[in-house]
Amino acid sequence: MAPQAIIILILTTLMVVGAVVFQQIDPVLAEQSFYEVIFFEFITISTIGYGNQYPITRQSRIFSIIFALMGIPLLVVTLGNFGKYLTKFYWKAYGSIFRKKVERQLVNDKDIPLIIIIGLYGLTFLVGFFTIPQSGKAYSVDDTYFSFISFATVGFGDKVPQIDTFYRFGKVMSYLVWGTILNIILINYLTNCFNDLINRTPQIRGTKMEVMIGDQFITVSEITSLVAQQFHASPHQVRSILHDIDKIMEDMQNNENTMEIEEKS
Amino acid sequence: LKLIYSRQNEFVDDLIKLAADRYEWETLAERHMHNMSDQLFVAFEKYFLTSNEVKRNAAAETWTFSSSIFFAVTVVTTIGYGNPVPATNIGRIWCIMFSLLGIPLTLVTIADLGKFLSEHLVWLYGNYLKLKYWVLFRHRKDRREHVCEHCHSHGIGHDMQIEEKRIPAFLVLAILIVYTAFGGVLMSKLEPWSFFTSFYWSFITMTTVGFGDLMPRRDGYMYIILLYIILGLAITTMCIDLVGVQYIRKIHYFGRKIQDARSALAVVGGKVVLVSELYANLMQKRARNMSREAFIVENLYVAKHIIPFIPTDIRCIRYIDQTADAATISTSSSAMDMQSCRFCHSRYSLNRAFK
Repeated sequence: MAPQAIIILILTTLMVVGAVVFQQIDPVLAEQSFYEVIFFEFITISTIGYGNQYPITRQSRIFSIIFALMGIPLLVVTLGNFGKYLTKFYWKAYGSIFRKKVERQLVNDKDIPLIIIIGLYGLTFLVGFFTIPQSGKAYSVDDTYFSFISFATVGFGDKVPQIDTFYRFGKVMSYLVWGTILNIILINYLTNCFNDLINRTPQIRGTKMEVMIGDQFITVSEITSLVAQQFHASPHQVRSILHDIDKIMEDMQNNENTMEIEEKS
Repeated sequence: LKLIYSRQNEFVDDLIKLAADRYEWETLAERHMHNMSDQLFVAFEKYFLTSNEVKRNAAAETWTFSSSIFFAVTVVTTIGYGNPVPATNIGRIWCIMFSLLGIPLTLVTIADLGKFLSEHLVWLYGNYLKLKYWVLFRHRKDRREHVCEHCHSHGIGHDMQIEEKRIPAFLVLAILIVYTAFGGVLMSKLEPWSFFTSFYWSFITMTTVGFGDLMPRRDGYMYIILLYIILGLAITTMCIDLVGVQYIRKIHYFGRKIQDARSALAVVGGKVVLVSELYANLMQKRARNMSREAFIVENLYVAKHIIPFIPTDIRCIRYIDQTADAATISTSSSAMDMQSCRFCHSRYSLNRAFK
């Protein structure tokens, strides 16, 4: 958790400093209250971009470019991590509630099932229905539409949340952050679906394939040659052994699957 | 629009009729003014008419084919300028469905494009490095690194090198800025904007913020602009991927401290995996299988797909791990450098002992 905390700290500092600078250099933003400027910054770096607040002067435009350059990757990583935590949390909760042992691998790789995502979405919309005021008609399709367009970071700006008080600002911010995390999970899920559909899961094949470890790039062929040295064998031998191993592993997996099926039946 | 005009006519008629009675005139005028402003507001809010269009009594067709395409692109790329927007409920629901399906598809496509671009960039950069190396170090053969006998015997020499292909952040940033500036030039030709305004516009668009304070006109050049946007998105995705995430992962890494290889993150294909987790997973499989072979299998398997992160000063770290007395580190590390081989990352003597 520690690195996550560092990133959040940096992000918060960036937001506060950015808000101060924006108020210094932009006449329109200067008239608005501090948290409204913070909200503007959030809208910018989450790439929602409603367009009800935007920089006007040349300096503030330059600054917003720099600000976005720093802020967007930070926020993307933060929200993505939160999405991961949420997924992990879901699987852990699932394991403890149903007393089923969830494999560790599952916890890290598997997505939350679609039903749950949709359920969470529904719940969120319900919350948004009653608590989040926006410029459209309340309690109608407008709410869902507004929420979805915001979460997907499309942000047309035809419906904008009202943030006239600090309380509302807090509500809207947390709502948007939560929704964006949820949306990242959903989009991830759908992306995986599409990838599966055209059967294009990232394949690790070919000796020219680059593997990034820590922050070094090494091709697979180099790795095999390294391994060959350690075992005093020629790279060719290693490669053939690896192929055999791959086969064995596959067979193992198949066997396991069939065994499980047999056990069930 | 028709409603607005009929109201206006009513208003004027009443004005003429009741010009005599002052009191009634006032109340009527007030009522009609209210009516008018109500209608106008509804028109602006709901149907996005502009005052110009009202004056000319001709609503510009918002949903022509080309503007619809423009709208669709802004939705699926999540730019969302906010002009045009769907006004009816059916339109909105359809828009939600459309984006639900369209956004992931677009993401996949653009990520693919970005990956393609970054691969080429890496390749180009690798070639550039080779050229640089060739130009600079052709004549300095005496400053070779030590390669141990063992490696020599297996035919690995000085000319083989493990290339470190990491693109500097500066280069990537430069590409982004050059592309944005190119967009600035393009847009300042096509639109009545200054160069800087166009630059700002293209940046806001590339990052999919899309405030909508500046909008390209939707005419014949629209397709060129769309092409520019999509290509730009691929480039931005590539840049954020190459630089931002890499650097932030570094923060992650240092946050963890270098404990051991188990907590190292390995990127395999496109997934970040903890080495220890993969290891545990393999151990499980081994335990289930109960075969003796599996140990070797596992070792090799790990070696093929992931190698724990190797810091450049591996030899020092290794030494710290192995022996407790820190005093020898500073003196021996340089000697180790000479002794150790960068291909097998092990000391010559160690290798000997192994034999």
